[in-house]
Amino acid sequence: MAEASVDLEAAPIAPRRRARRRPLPSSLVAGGLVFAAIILVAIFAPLIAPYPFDEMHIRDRFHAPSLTYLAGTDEYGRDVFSRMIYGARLSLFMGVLATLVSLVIGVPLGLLSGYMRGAVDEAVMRILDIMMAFPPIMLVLLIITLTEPSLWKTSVAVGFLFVPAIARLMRSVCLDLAGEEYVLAARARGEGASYILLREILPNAWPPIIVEGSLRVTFAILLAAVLSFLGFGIQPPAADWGLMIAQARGYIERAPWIVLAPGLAMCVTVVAVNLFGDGLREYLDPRMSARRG
Amino acid sequence: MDDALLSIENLTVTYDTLAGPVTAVDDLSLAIGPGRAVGLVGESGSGKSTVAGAVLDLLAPGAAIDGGRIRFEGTDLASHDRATRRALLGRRIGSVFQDPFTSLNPAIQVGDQIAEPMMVHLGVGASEARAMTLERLDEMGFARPAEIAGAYPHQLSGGMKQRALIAAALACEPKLIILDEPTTALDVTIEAQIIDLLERLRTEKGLSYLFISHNLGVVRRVCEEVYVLYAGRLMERADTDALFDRPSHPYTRGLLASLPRLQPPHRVKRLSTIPGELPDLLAPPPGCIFEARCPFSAEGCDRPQTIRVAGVRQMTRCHRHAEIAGEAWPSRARLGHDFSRKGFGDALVNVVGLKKRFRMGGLFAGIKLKPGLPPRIVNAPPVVKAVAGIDLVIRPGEVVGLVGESGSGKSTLGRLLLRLEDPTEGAVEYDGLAIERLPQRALRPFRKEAQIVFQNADSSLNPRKTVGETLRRPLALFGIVPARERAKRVGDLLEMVRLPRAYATRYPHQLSGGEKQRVAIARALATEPKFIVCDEPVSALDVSVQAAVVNLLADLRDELGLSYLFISHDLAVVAQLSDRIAVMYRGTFAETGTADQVLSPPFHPYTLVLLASAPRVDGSAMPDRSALLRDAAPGAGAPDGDGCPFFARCPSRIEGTCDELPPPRRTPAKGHAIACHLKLDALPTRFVPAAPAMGAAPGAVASAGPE
Amino acid sequence: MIAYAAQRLVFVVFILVAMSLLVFAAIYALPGNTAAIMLGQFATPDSLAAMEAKMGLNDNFFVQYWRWASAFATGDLGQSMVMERPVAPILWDAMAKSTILAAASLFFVAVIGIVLGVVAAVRRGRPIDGAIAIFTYLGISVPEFFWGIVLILVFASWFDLLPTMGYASLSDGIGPFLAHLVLPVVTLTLTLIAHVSRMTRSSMLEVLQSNYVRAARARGLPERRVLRHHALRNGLLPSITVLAQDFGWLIGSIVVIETVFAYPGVGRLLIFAIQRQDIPVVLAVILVITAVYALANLAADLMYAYLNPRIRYGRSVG
Repeated sequence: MAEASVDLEAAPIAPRRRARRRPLPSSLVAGGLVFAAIILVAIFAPLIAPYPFDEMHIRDRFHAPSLTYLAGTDEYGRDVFSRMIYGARLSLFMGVLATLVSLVIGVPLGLLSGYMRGAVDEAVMRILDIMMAFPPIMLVLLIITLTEPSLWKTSVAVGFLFVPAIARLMRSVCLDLAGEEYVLAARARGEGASYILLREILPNAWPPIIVEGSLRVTFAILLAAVLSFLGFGIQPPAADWGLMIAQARGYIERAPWIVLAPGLAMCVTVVAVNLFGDGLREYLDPRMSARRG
Repeated sequence: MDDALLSIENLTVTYDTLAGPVTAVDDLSLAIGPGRAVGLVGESGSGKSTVAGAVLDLLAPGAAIDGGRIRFEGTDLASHDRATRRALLGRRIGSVFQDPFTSLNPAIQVGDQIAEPMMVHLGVGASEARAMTLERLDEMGFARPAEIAGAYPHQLSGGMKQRALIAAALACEPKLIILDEPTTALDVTIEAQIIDLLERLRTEKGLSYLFISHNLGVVRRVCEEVYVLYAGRLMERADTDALFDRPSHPYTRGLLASLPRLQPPHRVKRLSTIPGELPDLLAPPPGCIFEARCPFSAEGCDRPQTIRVAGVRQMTRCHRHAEIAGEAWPSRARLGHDFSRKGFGDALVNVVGLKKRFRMGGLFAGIKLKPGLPPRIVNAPPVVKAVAGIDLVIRPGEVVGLVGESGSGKSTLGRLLLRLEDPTEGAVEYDGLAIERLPQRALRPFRKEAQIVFQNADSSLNPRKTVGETLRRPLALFGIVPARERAKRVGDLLEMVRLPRAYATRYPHQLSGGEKQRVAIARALATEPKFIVCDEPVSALDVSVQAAVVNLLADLRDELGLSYLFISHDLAVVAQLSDRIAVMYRGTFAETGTADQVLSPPFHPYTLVLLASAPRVDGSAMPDRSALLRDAAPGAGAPDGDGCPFFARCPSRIEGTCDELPPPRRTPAKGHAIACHLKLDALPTRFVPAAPAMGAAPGAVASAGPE
Repeated sequence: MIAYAAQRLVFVVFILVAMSLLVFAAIYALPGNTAAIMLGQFATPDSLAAMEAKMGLNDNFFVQYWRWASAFATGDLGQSMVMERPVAPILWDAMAKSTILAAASLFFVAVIGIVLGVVAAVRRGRPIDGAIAIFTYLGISVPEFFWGIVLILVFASWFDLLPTMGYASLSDGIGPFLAHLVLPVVTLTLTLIAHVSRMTRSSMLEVLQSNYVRAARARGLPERRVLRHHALRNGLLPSITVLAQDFGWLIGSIVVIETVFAYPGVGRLLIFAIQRQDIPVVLAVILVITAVYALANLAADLMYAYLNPRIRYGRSVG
């Protein structure tokens, strides 16, 4: 070993390769900021909202937007702006809960299916095929027909709906990573499945999970709104965006703001989360970072 | 230069990267005369493919020509608008790219893809284009051109695809063909076929080639003059013989010196290497760009330099080319401990009758519908025999080389030995312990002793772990050293693979390809193994880096007394390191023996084909190997039954015998085995036929026929 | 190819059986049984028992399932409890009306979505790409019912151009028939176009960067020809799968849109039935829709296989 120092092959300390510090995509920054703001609004809704969401101002029914009522009032004289702010809570809650449910079930399922292969894989994939053979919303409607609607149930049902997509994504990511040579090297030193899945594969699988998860939040928000609109989601007098639109439909000509305000709120939220997700995808996409000069 | 077909003058191409502009090609001038074959040689990052992109107007987004002119038949290409330029290039310059597997449109029949440029550029009708297409395919040596023309790309093998792409490049009878690594993705026997085809086409049609490649052997065979590129700059230009025999630039000398040669190994000799790595192209040094890696560098080499005349039709970019003219690249004759003299003792790994079959597809894949009324469902599980009956012994301190083409099952065999796959049949014994059926938990002691190093430096390290974390894990898992000594041991391991201790804090993306491969070797060494499967460990590396890693593996074998199963598609690399060599074809060993025995006659016909196909840089007479390379689609028409797997491609096959019966085992000498129906004295004995001019060369093989 | 089609068909049948079992089991396990619902809250235990016996509710699960399923297969979809009429004619009538909506929207989604996607991919990074991106973002960022309501507000309330509610049959004249379709179809198209165009864009981008497109360009083919002849064939193949996927979401959207526009289709029937706990109708609707969806997916798979030479021509030559 002594001669290693004069060895022609002894590598000199090469300068650290430049860490690829790529600028954050603007969509990620913009979407992230708005998304963060909406989360703050949802958390501190009671502090921000000018009125309680269910406080009725009987004299001011159908009041047009003004300085007193920033987004006007509805048919009971409730402040639409305050209800919008409280609505962010419910929407985000459902969006995040549904996504969590789908991740908690879908990610392990996909990992197992992708790593174990064989019979486990076949079984999981066939079950997912069956789940996917239902037209998406029918499954939720079926569950709701058979049980009483509630905030939790709706979110969980929506979450279930997303499980196949998440699990399939996870499986394909896992299949890719399981062929990586560092995973084979881990198997060659006799590591157990749990070490390989949790320490070798999962840390490299999280970028697509995060991206997919953020996009699922928007789907869940929209789907929950649809269910509320149809009357199968959150029940009145809760301030939910979908429910607000459903209830105000009849007054659309007289007081369009009652419909437009929650619609706008939903639009901003979903656009922000979508931008965030797309920006994240762009930032984390290995193909983008692998581009070399 | 004025009569040049294509002339590139002072071309500079820059890429806009996130870290800043990178000059990929710097002030390159190059001319191709009519009927000339010009080689453009370089390692990865040399900018050689960028040159093709610049000529063909196909630069990647973000790349732009910053200076210089490209003239075709005297006209500056930039003087045309984009559409005219493209039409002109398409009609007058053919192009063939590296990857035949993705270069044909999967949705269009092959014939239509060849006919299309004829109809667009030559204005011929569909039926005439079809006739011309069949003519082209016929020229490519296809036996049944009409069948190829009607096929979709996925129905063709890689070599057939590349031949179809060459036919498409020749569609409009261009005079110049740009070939960008046209054989790199192909097996060596297919490569030889394509090279022979290209040579024949050039003489028949008077074509000019711009031949871009990293493979010096292929360039020597095809080209008449060669340009050597390094880090975007032209290092040297010379006629082929001059370049290979009297290289004027140190880099050229280094490249040639570090190539493994096809000859039996010397336990104590090592390859020459080029130390260091490519300079940072974001901030290239102002002087000689090769200075940091050059053993001849001296004071003054950091001055700016230009390319200058170094000899007859030879130009070089070196300050000291005159002073160092006679000096050879420093070789590294390191004296190792020669185990082989003492013999190897008892088997460490003992494999008997090993078989592995894979079942393809999913649950329904095995069910086929047989047409008829009513249709019947038949059970026909598609099975691939990856390993079909292997016996193998590896002794302590011994290196067994395993050579084979893609799909030969060599990687599967390596994984079976480590129980990364479960065998279908047969026994694997390690140090007296039968491991083929042991549950994973009981394999733990074996796992510590037997390790693996893979091919792909990019995927061999977990990108989220530092080098230190990667190396600490096996130490902790097997309790090799107490926790407090692990940091020190990590440093020791890094030194063992000739890396600085400080590398422990780096992440894989901060390492070069060669450095990553060294870390992967260190990870294998961490468990203090006795046996390592090296699965194509240097195939993805550039020549100069490859030599250093091969040397490292040789050093470690000597220092630690390791045994390797060294898997590679490259016979020269295997020959460099191996005590014994096994030649694998479609799951079985065609020939096994000591390196000397395998590399010298008598040969198994397949070994002979491999040897004849291997590109060589030493300028020895090029054999006419066309008689050997028959029907070289891998696996084509192999018998399903018991016959010899090499039957369909064998130049000496005996109809009625070879395709019916399993080949017997011939033993020309102790330890040398050849699985072939040919009797010992009928086995082919020479792979370099007499000078090709004699014309008798093919006969040398053909006469070695049956009985 | 035939074997592939047979495999897929077997799977579809399997799915339908599984689905019907699942649906039936859900109803079977329901606490208040059908008899109780039919008789209402004033039912006496005696009348309940009589009703249960009459309806065969005391038989075991499989007997009941078999009775229900075999009737279903012969076209007897059961009896609506609320409307007290057979389900089949109601359902088929509603289906016909929804099919018009679905076919029209799917057509526009496919044509406009694919065109937008291709344009965005070809003009990547140009203003038109950005404009399409913004348009598609708006499409997926707001639920379909909101767009429906906004369209009603603009075209019906403010400009008074189009009817907002209901359905006119062809016998009422082609004008009113089409007028009633415009707003629902526009809304559905707006909602679904985003996904199709984004997926088309990304698959086209991938194809445009592929080696074979590069090789086609190197052969000097005009860009228009490269695009039409080489890129589109491969770039549009995945769109078939995307459209099949979106057909599922289209079904969901139709349920919502029919409610918004009071369009008497199968979606409105379903919501109506769910609200009134009209179990036989809910069951029949969900099963029939699932069958349609499964068949649509089967059709898409077969089309994909047919257009993809890798599946169509398996064997190798030479």
